[in-house]
Amino acid sequence: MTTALTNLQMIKRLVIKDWELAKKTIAAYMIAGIFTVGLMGMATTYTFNIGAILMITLLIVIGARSAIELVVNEKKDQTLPFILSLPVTVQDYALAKLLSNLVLYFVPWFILLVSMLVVIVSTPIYNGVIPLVVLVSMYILMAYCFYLGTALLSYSEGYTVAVMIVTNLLLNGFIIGLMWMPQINQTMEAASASWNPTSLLILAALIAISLAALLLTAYLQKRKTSFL
Amino acid sequence: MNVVQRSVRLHYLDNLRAFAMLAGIFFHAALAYSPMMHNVWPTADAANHWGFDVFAWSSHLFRMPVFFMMAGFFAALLMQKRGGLAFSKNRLLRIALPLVLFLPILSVITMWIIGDALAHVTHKSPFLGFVQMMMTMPEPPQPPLSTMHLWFLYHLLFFYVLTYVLKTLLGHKVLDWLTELKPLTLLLAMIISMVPALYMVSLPFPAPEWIFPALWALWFYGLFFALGYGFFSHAKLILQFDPYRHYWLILGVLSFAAFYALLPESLIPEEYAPGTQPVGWLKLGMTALEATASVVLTLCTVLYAKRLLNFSSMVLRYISRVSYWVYIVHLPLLFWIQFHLLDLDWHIGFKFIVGTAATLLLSCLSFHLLVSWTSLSRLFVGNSSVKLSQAKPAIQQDV
Repeated sequence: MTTALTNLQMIKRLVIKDWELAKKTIAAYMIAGIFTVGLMGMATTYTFNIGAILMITLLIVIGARSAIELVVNEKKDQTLPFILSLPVTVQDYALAKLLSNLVLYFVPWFILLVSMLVVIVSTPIYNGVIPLVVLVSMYILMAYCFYLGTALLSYSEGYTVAVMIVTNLLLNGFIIGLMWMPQINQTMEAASASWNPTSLLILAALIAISLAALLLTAYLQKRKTSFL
Repeated sequence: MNVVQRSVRLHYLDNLRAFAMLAGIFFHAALAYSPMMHNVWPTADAANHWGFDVFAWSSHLFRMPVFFMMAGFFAALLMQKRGGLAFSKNRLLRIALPLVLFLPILSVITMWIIGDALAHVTHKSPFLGFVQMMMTMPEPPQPPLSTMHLWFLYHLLFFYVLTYVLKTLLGHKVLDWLTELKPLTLLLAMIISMVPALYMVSLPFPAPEWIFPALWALWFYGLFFALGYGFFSHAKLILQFDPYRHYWLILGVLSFAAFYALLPESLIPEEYAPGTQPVGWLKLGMTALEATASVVLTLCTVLYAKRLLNFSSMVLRYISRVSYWVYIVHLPLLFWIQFHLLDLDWHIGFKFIVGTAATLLLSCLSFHLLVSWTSLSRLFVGNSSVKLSQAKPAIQQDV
């Protein structure tokens, strides 16, 4: 019991350490986020489209920086050996990394997604685009889970960046693929969001793959014996 | 040995808050008798007078900027006294919670008041006529999501986030840099940087009451918030303008006079009546005048308040105490009263006085019935007087 509590304290400290390291970057993202929401909120087609592009860029950049800054650089800068010399098990460290990265990415991701949905619902923009927006955002989250997993398991900048490139290239294909689907594109100009079996199936698949990626990462982390 | 902390009560800020709140009621009441707002304002009376326009639009240029400047000052004060975490908790309790609690309530009440006016008012304003016409449509459009007059609280929340962000990213660098600027350079920098933001919107700048943070408002009001924030630790930022305050006042009045003379006869938003708003160079010139008047008159308000309002007054202290609650409830009350005044054949000056007095009276009454003795007082009263304790000695002397 005492060990668990001690570990919990250490995990908390490691998460706070990551927060301290990332807070400047997050502060900059906040400005970008407020600007983007304000731009989309102007509710003209032009500003909404620019805002949407900025939003997608922001979601990708936040994830990429968080994985590189908080995971890969930790090994590169020799912070990892130092931390593991502290009274902390490798599993505690791995759990703390997973937690901090998820929180530091998931919270901004969720706020940005909700903001985007509020913009769509409260402006003359067709609510029919909601499934597309949710699916694309979910894809970006899934991609993040992939390269976070890669970073946590390999601590390799090369592998992590490779996964980032592949998943971001596939994003274009994913969007084009969605636009080609009659079940998606035919309802995009509808007054209300139309969640049909196709879009729901894609959403469920994206969530399932994201969870599977995280669980697999956690499982493989647990089996790891050396982090150095 | 304990060091006795000396508390300095900044009466002029207490009093300025009271006057600014009163000016808010007068401003909203005056719009009912404004020729320029006749086609737009819900309670527009059949009779109107240009004098109400002069009062409304001159005060409009500096009243809310003054509020934002004070908000910036109090933010810095609170942060220094209590630290970041306590500051966040306090702002969530006193700004976010009232916004979340009262926005839905006020929206419903205002809709009910408009519905009641549609049913019972004979001499309807053009706005009421427009709403009535819309309601006869088979599928009437939904009214836009609005933060109503609570947009002030809504935008304040963004300023608190941005304060944290800028503090984290830049520390005190920007404030130090601003303090080193010469007064005229600072003034020009503020005015010039405001012009693009104000150019984005109609003239005079509207209330950014939509549900999204308005970028122009974040920049425009943000500069005043930043000035107030800086004023707390660098009193020189504002006090350096004091020796020439009379000249600034003249500049502000002249800028407003020119701005007012160029305003169109009717202030219908561009999207409803294309071609009515100034465009091109005329708009740019008017925006520059608007920015100049706004910055200069806001500074003058604080400078003159420091000289003329730095006394303790029971009445003003009371008004300052109830001001937050009055701000929250005054607009629906005013609408309700002014809708009932529409059918009365009184002089508009008398209607204006009755409207403002009754709104103030009912707002204060509701404060004592609903707030002062309940837990709501934690949200709306708090520690309302402006004290500088545990602050740097330099601040206590200067501010």
